[in-house]
Amino acid sequence: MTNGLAVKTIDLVKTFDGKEVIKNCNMTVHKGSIYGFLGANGAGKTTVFKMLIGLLIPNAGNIEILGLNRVDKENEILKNIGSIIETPMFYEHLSARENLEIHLSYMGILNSNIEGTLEMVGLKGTGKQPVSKFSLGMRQRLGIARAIIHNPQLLILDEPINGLDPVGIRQMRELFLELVKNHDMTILISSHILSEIEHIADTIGVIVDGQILEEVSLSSIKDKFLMD
Amino acid sequence: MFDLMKLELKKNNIRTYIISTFVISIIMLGFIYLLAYLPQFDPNDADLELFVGYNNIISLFSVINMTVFCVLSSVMYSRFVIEEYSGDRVLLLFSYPIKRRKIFISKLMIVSLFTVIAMVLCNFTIFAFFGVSETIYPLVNESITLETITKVIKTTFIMAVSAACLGIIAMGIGFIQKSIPATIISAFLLCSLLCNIVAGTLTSDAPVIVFLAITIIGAIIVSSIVMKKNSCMEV
Repeated sequence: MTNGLAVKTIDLVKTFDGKEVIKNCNMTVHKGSIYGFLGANGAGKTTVFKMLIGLLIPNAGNIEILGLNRVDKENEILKNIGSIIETPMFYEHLSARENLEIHLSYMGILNSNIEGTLEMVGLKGTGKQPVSKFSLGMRQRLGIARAIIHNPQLLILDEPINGLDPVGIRQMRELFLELVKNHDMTILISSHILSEIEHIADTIGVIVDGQILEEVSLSSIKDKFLMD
Repeated sequence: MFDLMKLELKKNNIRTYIISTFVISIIMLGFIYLLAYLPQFDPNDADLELFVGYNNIISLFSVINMTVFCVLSSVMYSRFVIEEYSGDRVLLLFSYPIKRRKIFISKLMIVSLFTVIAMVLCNFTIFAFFGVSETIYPLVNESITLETITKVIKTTFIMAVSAACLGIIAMGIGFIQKSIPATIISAFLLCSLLCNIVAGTLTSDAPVIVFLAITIIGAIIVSSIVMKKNSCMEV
């Protein structure tokens, strides 16, 4: 057990068809922080996130989440994780509210403030609309609502602000900061654009070709790795 | 498990399949009258002897209805399983704190139960309607006996379970191929193949029981293979 850490990966390796796409990945995310995971497209951000959630099985290495071993305590860990991996998918014929209800049922939560959560992500009054009528930005917001509605300790967000307009991006940044400050969440957020996460992240991990080159405080990173 | 099954019903619009069952029932009702009327086209035609008597009509009708419900079952599996596991929604499904095996079994159970219940109701309704009309305006030159009714009940249950089992086997093929067309076509081909093998022997009990046993064993094997694949599936 590692107290005070939300995520710790030790020498994580993942290979696809014999090709090593994640190489000795060592990541340390402190509880109550926002960890920005920065890397170009194809660097391995989503692969690492999928391994954290259990969607991919590492070929080597160890993962501890919220002080628990990933393999031994899978369900306990998943109860405390909210995530967006790639584009959030929904049951199109159902309303936003029904989609969230289904999610809560799977998470084993009977009562939750669905309207309040929709309002938090800027979807107030849209709960009854079928998701098929939602724009890309609205879907992204609903994806964030689904990730946070069960009040998880750890949020894993893979490029969550894709498809949002500048106002939406600002609103989501404020929401992420609020979730860390007032809801004791830890956020692991990825992006391929430094400017997207530099405003909110406490620490930034830079991944290049499947290898985390460095985990540094935000202030020193700009000089080292300027990315578009 | 019951909660998971309820969630499946909520996620997938079950009304579509209930309406489909009604439509199938109406079409198949027409079909049973066609089967009963066929020998009257040419009473001297030896080939049409296959359609003479309640026993033959019950067997033929049940086999064809089984094919129809097996295809309906495969359509349901396409939506409940293939679409969900081969699309991006599987990312969400696998990130829930529930064993993958349990979610998968809930899907199997809901589709299998629906197939069996829908087919039993459809068969009984059609046979009841046909039976009543036979007492008023008989097309078949035989009387309905207790044996006939027993045959209806037995054949209906055997064929309903077979339809559900063949649906599972078709789902297994579609799951491995990650293809909706493969699921539906497999269901049709499996039924056609097996029905052609056993159709001629359906009037006696033993071949029907062997047929049922084969489909049940097949369904159990396929389910285990798919569940094992599902448990270690990476997405």
